[in-house]
Amino acid sequence: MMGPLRLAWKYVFFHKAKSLILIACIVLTSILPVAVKLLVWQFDQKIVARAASTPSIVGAKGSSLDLVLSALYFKQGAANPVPYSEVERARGDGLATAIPLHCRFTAMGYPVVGTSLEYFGYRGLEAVDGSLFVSLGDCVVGHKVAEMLSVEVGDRLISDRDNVLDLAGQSPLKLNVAGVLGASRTPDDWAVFVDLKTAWVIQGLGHGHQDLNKESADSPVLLSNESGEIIANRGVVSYIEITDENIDSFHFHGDTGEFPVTAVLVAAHGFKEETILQGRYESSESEVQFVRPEIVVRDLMTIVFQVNRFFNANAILIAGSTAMLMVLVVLLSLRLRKREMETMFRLGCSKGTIAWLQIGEMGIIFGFSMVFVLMGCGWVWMVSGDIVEGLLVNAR
Amino acid sequence: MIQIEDLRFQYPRTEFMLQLPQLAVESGEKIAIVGPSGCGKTTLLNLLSGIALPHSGTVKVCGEEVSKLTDAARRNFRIAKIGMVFQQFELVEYLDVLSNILLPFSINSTLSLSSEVRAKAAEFAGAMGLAGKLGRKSAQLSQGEQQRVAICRALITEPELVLADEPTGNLDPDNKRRILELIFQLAEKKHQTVMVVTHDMGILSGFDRVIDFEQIRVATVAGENLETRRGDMGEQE
Repeated sequence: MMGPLRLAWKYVFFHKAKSLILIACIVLTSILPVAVKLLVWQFDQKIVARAASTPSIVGAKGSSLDLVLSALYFKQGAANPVPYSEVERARGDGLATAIPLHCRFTAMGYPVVGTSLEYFGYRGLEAVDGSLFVSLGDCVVGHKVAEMLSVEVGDRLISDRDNVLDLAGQSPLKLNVAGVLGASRTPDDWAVFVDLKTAWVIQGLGHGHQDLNKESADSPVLLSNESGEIIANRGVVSYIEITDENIDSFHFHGDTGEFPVTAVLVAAHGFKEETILQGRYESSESEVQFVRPEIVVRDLMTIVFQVNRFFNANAILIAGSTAMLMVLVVLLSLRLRKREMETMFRLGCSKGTIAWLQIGEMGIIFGFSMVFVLMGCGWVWMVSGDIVEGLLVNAR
Repeated sequence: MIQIEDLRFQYPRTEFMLQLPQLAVESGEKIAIVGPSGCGKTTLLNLLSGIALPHSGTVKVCGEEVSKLTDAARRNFRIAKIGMVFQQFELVEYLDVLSNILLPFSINSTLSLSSEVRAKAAEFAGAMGLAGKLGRKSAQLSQGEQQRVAICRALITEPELVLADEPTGNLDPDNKRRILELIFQLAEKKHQTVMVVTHDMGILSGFDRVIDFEQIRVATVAGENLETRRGDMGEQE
């Protein structure tokens, strides 16, 4: 048995190019559907796990999927904002813990998420370096953001302009990195968290500027100062960084109840409380919707799996045609090697040994292919989590 | 060594028929078989080696009636008793010289490939002037060298009968002479019988006997016994 196998090995090794092409055909045909299956499975696991860890979301009426993506993956502009009063409404009667989310801006390309400290406890996030945000202008960066931007506690991050072409728009805000979160392998790793009020400051709903009360009457920034109503010109210095010295000058104009939040994470204290809350949002006049992310995501995955079924059918067809081509290659190879086989037969080789020779060659090709397929699948398995995470993060 | 009586053989769906009333070859003889193309020279070698079976008559080689052996026994008989050399050398392109010489051991489970056999193969190759070329593939050898490898492959199992089908057909005159000399030298050492099919009348002088298949055909048609000539081949040339 070793003789034919040794000959088979020498044949495969001698015809390196042909063998490599055959191996590549088998590997690609086998690994693609397996890799896609792994990725879909990982995608399902990740997206469902994230959704399942978020009982309910309240947000503007419209696409429930956009709302869920906005709340779970901080996708900017996916959902219309709702007023902050919805947070209070969700908290109403102590039925649930309501956590506001404001996902409109980015800092150095990463989403800035305005929220409350409850979010970190809810998601089980802890600062491994520094602390959570304690004052206006502080931010806590996710593990990956810290890694990618090489930032640490005490560094500054500048928020990106909402619209770079709008020169009259609000100025970027320098955020003080107060802490770095531990790795969670969730979208939280890829976000910059600030207090909700800081998010509103970035949006321009709150601001800080030089104290006009301390300016003399002939100050060049004052246009008028009559009966306590101070009017300043555009020369007044607005702060783009919140420091201990100027923090007191930051203030908001208007009713904060009307200020926007993207979504509200609602963790009802029990099934009964959740049902009551859901009932409150079911009214057709309501401007907001109450969604269970897990249901929305499972609906999405149903579509994904249906698409995957088409892909599987396609993969089966490709595998079939590859198999037929391989049979053709083997048959042509046998024809080319007819004289070699005949010589072996004349030298006393049995037909069984000749068959073993062929089986050995194909076995070596398939063996190597399977090794590469396994290695490829192992690699895909190892990186699929990161790939899916990257896909989900980049989708925002 | 070889005894043939009343042999008749015909390929299916052809008019060709080989008829050989009688042929006897002694051990250690060097026989040349000559004749025009298609007269059955190669068929005779196939019948002697058991690759083809006669329709009637007997073919005895080394005391065995080849047609009465089972397929497996015939194969084992071929491995043990017969060495074959072909016109086109028929070396395996993906094997090096040493592996080509040892090919019978790789494809037959009845032969065991020991270090002694390897040493013998290297020794054969050395005797054939291939000592420095054991690691080369057949494509890297000249035609003369390739045929020498094929001869080593035929003799490595120490067969009692060496059948060569136009072994010099693809060689230049100088190589023809050298190859035949080598076959004869090695065969004489082991007292092996050599039967060579050839078209080449210029190489017949070294043989003990020449069998002319054209004469056999004529004799068979005329109902006479097979005539063979011994010794001087001057007339053939």
